[in-house]
Formats: sequence, structure tokens, C-alpha cells
Amino acid sequence: MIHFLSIDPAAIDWARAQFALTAIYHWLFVPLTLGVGLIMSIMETKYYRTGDTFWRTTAQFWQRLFGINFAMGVATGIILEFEFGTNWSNYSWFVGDIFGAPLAIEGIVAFFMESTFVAVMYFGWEKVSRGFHLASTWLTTLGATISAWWILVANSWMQYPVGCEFNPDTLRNEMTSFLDVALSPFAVDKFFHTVISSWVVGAVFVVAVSAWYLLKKREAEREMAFKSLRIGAIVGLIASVGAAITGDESAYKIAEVQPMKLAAMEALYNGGNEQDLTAVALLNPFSQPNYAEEEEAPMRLAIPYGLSILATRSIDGFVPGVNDILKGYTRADGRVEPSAKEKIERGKKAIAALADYRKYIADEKAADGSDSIGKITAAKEERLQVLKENWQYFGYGYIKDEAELVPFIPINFWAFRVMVGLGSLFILFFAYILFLGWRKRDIASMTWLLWMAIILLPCAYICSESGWLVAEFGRQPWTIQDMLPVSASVSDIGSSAVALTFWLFLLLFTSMLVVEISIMLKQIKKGIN
Amino acid sequence: MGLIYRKCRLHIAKITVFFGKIVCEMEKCVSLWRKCFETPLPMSSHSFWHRAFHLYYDGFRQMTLGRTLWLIIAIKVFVIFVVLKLLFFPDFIGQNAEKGKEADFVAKELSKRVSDISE
Repeated sequence: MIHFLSIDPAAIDWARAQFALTAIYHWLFVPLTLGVGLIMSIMETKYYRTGDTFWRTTAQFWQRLFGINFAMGVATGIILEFEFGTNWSNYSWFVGDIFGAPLAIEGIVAFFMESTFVAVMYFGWEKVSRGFHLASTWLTTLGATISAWWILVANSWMQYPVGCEFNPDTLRNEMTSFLDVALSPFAVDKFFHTVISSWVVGAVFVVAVSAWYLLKKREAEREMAFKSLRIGAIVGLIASVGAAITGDESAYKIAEVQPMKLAAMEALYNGGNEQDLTAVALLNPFSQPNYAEEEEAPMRLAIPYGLSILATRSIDGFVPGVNDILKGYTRADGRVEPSAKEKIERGKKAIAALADYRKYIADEKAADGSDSIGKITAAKEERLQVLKENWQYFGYGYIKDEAELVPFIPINFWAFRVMVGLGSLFILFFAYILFLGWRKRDIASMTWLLWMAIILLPCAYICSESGWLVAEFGRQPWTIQDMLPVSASVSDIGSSAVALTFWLFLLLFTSMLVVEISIMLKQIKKGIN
Repeated sequence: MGLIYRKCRLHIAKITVFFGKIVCEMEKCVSLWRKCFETPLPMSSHSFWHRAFHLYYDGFRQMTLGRTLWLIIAIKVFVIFVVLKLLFFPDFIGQNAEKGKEADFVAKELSKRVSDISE
């Protein structure tokens, strides 16, 4: 008996688009909170150590801008949680016991730690000791960073689900090891890469604002601009290099647990040993390439052996391409990765075994009125055995066509290149600024450099958002890697309802963004007074 | 008649004295309030709770840019939690599934998405 997709297919796309819009909007504020938080803490530390009121005034200025961004970002993340309950109800039920725990901790840590110490930071200048005030500033930043840890643990679990076991009676995945979830190596890499890249955004912001004061020849802010520019450049250079290192680690983990994502990032259709790393290629950004028939992306410029080194840490390591993953291949450690066709078959067996098990329990209950969930019987065990053997491929049972297993390659490919390209540019930019400082060149007279600093500010946001595009588009079609695809995760709701809220959000967020930018620009124009 | 009149006057006098005492007590309270919270005293001489209260009280009173930001936060939170959540983001399973039968509801939802099941 064949069942076709019985929900509104447009609802999937609108639900995805809505989540993407709200997540992208939320991520406009978070990096600046983390990045400027670090820099303002450093500046206040200088005040604490030197007692020089210049650093107090400077720290207060950046704290003011931090506060504007903080206020604008408040509650933007909560909308994502509303969407889980409405648009992604199957997903929420299926994995809520695991996904919900880090989200709850994130909300609690954010609420209590940040809100407690941010009040001392703003209200306590004349009321608490310098040491306590400094500690409060650092704890505000730390609170935001710890909060980020938990949301990244939740997202990492979506990419690499560990520490859980499926309960066929409640139809929920249950956490078997909190530490496996919280300290998953995927989560650790993602945390460091995301937070360090946020420091880059903060550094670019500080450098851009400082450059603007120098361009406008604002005498009152001149000294602050020079010294802030220097601190911003130091933090930016260290963070940019750190982002590159942690990004490399993340890519290595992705090669292990999400090989299709890596193949999409590289537009690698056919893998092999001694794979080159694509620097750039003429890939059509608007349509899925014909990976089944084309050998490689057109006009490909590649770095020899680069991808094998990135993915396997050896020059001749095997890196599977899209077609290898679909057809099945043997990993370096000898494990055989089944073909997509086999995974789909096994997934269907798992789904059928689950349906069979639940029907058996329901029939038992109807027959003798008792709840046989707790009893262990041979018939139950037999059905559960089939489910356990094929559980690993459960999500594949929802896949109709192998092509669904391939993410949209152009977005992954180009977003990855935008991220790495801009990240590399930031390293050069910050290094150059520090070099000029070391050679005692007058940066204030280098108009082209100051304009570049300002232009790089939107580029920093584009770089940061591109990273998330790679992470999330590369995981498609899965909401939970291999466990649940988007088609099974989404609620059976009409697409018009989701489309309406999408446009509402777009209107609301655009208005709020305009308000934030105008308040921010007004305060920057006001200067340090 | 005169007796009733004298008794009424007595009661009115008692009520007047009673309210007069209340007003005196209120004036004492206001004076104490001003003494505690509006007279600048060395903060170190006060308890932790007093200082913590003053941190927020004085901080919120002296806000300038913060007032605008708090207004924006209030509007945003209202729109998100009252307008959006109540009107556009219902709990889908809570609304559609029978209490205690949520797993069966989700099982049915998931079974709708399967491409084919062999029976």
C-alpha cells in the first residue's frame, strides 16, 4: 500500500524559510554581544589595573553600544522555540526530551547570570568596588558565552545525535548520557569555532567605529579611537586565526559524521584518495548541479591534496563524494557504508517494525484491557529486535528519492567560500593594522584603510551568517542527522498560516533592525560624552 | 434628643482622632522613607539588601538611553509573547492530540509521511 506525502509540501518550505529568517535575525545580535563583551571587559580591566579614567570612559562607551545591541537581541531567540511547538511538532515530540534540556539551561543561565551582572555593570559604577564591577562585566560576558554553549550543544546534537535511546512506547528519544550530549566532540568544536568567530565580529565592529571617528576627525574621540582600534585589531587577529584553526577541526569532524555535508561544501561529486581542495569553481549558484553525470564542478581551481589533509589528516586519505555516498563505499577504517538504496530499505523496515510493535501493544491492550507496555514478551522482543537492528537508518525510511539526500550544493559551496574567503581577509586586515602600528605609521591619514574597516563591518556579518548557512543547509534533508528528515519533522499545518507569519516576522524584524541601527548610529555620533 | 446629639458628637470626635492618628503615622512613614532612601548616607553603612535595592532603584531612576531601550524591549516582548504566541503559535500537539494520547497522535502523523509501507 502506497501513501504519498499527505501534508502540504509548501508548508515544509515555508516552515524552513521562517526558521531560517528568525535564526538569521537572532544571529545578527549574538556575535556582537559575545565579541564586544570581550573587548569592553578588556578595556575595563585596563582601567582596573591602571586607574586611568580614560579607560573607564572608553569602557563605558563600548558598554553603551553593547547595551543597545543586547536590548535589541532580547527575546529574538524565543521565537525559534515557539516555532518548534507549532511548525515542527513531530520533531519536538520525537527529540524534545534531549533537545529541550540544553535549551532550558541556556534560557536559565542567560536570564539569571547575564541579567544579574548586567545590572551591576550599568548601575554599579559609583556603588560597588572597582573589582566587583570588573568581575560583573566579565561575568556578563561569561554568562552570554555559557548561554551560547548550551544552544550550540543543542544544535550539535542535531548534527551528531549521541547519548540517547529511542523509546518505542512513548515515541521519544530519551537521554541516556547527559555528558555525552553536553561534551560531544562535535559540540566542543562548534562552540569554540562559533564563539571565536563572534569575537571577530566584535573586533571588526570596534575597529569600524574607531575608523569612523578617525575619518570624521573627531578630536574628542581621537585617543579612544586609536586605542580601541589597537585592542580591536589584537583581539581580531587572535580570533581570526583561532577561527581558522577551530574551523579546520570542525571540518575534520564533519568529514567523520556528515560526509554528505562535506561533499556538498566542496561540490565533490566523485571522491577518491589524494583529493584536492577546491578554492573556487564556476558553479551555478541557482541550480543543483548534475552530480550524477558531471565529473567535477566546471573551471575548478584546487589546492593539491588539500581536501584529503583537511578531512583525513593524511595526503592520500579517501574522501567520499556525493555519488560515493549514494552508491555506498568503504571507509578508511574498513567499515562499509551502505548505499542510499539499502539505507532507505532498512529505514522502511525500522518504520514498519515500529508500526507493527505499536499495533501489537494497542491490540494487547484492547484484548485484555491491560497495559502490556511494562511486560516483556517474546512477541514484543521479536518486533523490537527488528527495530533495533535497523534503527540507525530509521530516518531514511521517509526518503522517496535518493536525490533528497543531497543538500542544495550551490548554497553550501558558495557560503563556505564566502566564510573562508572573508575569514582569511580578516587575518590579513588585522595583521596589517598591527604592522602599521608597530611601524608607527599614522593610520588616521590612511583614508582607504579607514574606509575598508567600515566596509568590512557588514562583511563580518555576512561571514558569520555564511557559517550557519553551511551548518544548516549542509544538514538537509535532516532535522536530526539520519534520524528524522524535514518532511517527517514538520507539523501538518497549512502553508498559508506559516507564510503569513513569515511575512509578519519579516516586517517586524526589519522595523526592529531599522530602530536598532538608528539608535546605534545616534549613540556613535554622540561619541564618548 | 440632646443625648443623641451628644453621643453623635462623641463618636465623630473619636473618628476624627482615629483618622488624625493615621495621618500622623503616614507622615512619620513618609519622613522615614525620605530619611532612608532620599537622604544621601554612606552606602557602606547600610545592609546588603538596602544597597542592592538602591542599585536598581537609583539605576532605573537615572536611566536616559535605557528608558528608550526598555520601552522597545517592552513593546517587543508584548508583540512576541501576547500577539504572536497567542494568535500564531499554538501548541500543535496540545491542540490536536487527546491528553495522554500524544504518542499515538505523533505516530499517526509520522505514518502519513512514509512513502510506502508493505502490509
